[in-house]
Amino acid sequence: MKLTSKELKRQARESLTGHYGVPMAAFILIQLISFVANSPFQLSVQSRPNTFQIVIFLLASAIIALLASILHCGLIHIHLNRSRQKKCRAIDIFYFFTKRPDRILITELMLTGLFLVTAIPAVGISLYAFLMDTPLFYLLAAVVWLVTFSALTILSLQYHLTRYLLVEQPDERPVNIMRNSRKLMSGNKGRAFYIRLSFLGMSLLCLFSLGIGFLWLDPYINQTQVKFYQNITGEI
Amino acid sequence: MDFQQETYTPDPPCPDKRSVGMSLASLILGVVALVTCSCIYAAVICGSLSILLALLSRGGETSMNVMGRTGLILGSIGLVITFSIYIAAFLIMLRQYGGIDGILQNYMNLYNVETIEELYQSMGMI
Repeated sequence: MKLTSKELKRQARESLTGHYGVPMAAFILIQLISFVANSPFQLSVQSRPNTFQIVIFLLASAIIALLASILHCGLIHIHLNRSRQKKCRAIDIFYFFTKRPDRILITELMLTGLFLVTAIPAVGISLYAFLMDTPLFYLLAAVVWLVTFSALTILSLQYHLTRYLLVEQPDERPVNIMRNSRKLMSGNKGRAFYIRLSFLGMSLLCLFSLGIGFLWLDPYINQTQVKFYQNITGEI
Repeated sequence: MDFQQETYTPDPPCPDKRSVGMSLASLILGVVALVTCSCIYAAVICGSLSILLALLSRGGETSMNVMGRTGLILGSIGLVITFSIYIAAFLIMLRQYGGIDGILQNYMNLYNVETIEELYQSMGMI
């Protein structure tokens, strides 16, 4: 039975009440690690960087984002344990560094490649418009980017459950994980999109609080997404 | 006639699934937001957090308790008043200096600079 977004959020709040500590600590750890890893490269491009520095910065950002995906799988593992009322610790974000991290890296690379290929026409048209420098080509580029954003949104919704399946199905190959995600999300993309949009208001409040509110909002969003995954797989 | 005396055992009360700590924090932050709404930014932070914590204090229920609701209302009022002060201050500045250009010109006179780039440099923005 498909649960409404309101019910999924209620169950997420119920799971988290009195147990915000571990998800909060995990969130802070991930942010700290990403910040510390990115800092040297960001500092290097602060004042008039040359092409080599920019290329190094982009490469480093891509590699750090790839490694951070392993941490995010650890975060999902924490939230799944929390949802099933099992014991979890903040240090579990490093869980998948010893449990075949290559699967996660390969899956992330495949997804990134898919998104990049989808964006190629829009990037090409934008460069051409920049060279031609006429209003018609800028308008064409805007239209192509609109279509590309829609396509990227649909793709991201199709593969929304990839990380959850990577966590729950340790023996499946990356290709099968992506196929299973597409299958499970069939008929559920609208719900997932609505759930994402429903957190916009709270996200705005967190921005006003200079990011302090994300300490509570991030666990809430992650736990709601976990409940959504469990509802689709029939666990709840 | 034989009446059988039935003993009635009431059901135990349903446990409250709300978070008392969060609703109390929301109330305190709401009061702080209202009291500091004439200060520059404190009310925005406290008001936002108060609303967020009030919404999360519902826990497994669908409604807030009295503290949470009060915190939500006070936080919202604090935010509304603070943003109204920001907008009013900006409109007064626009009227006094005759537009954005006038405001920038005034800043340039204040910092003794002649161009916008020098102004940004003196403010540490470039």
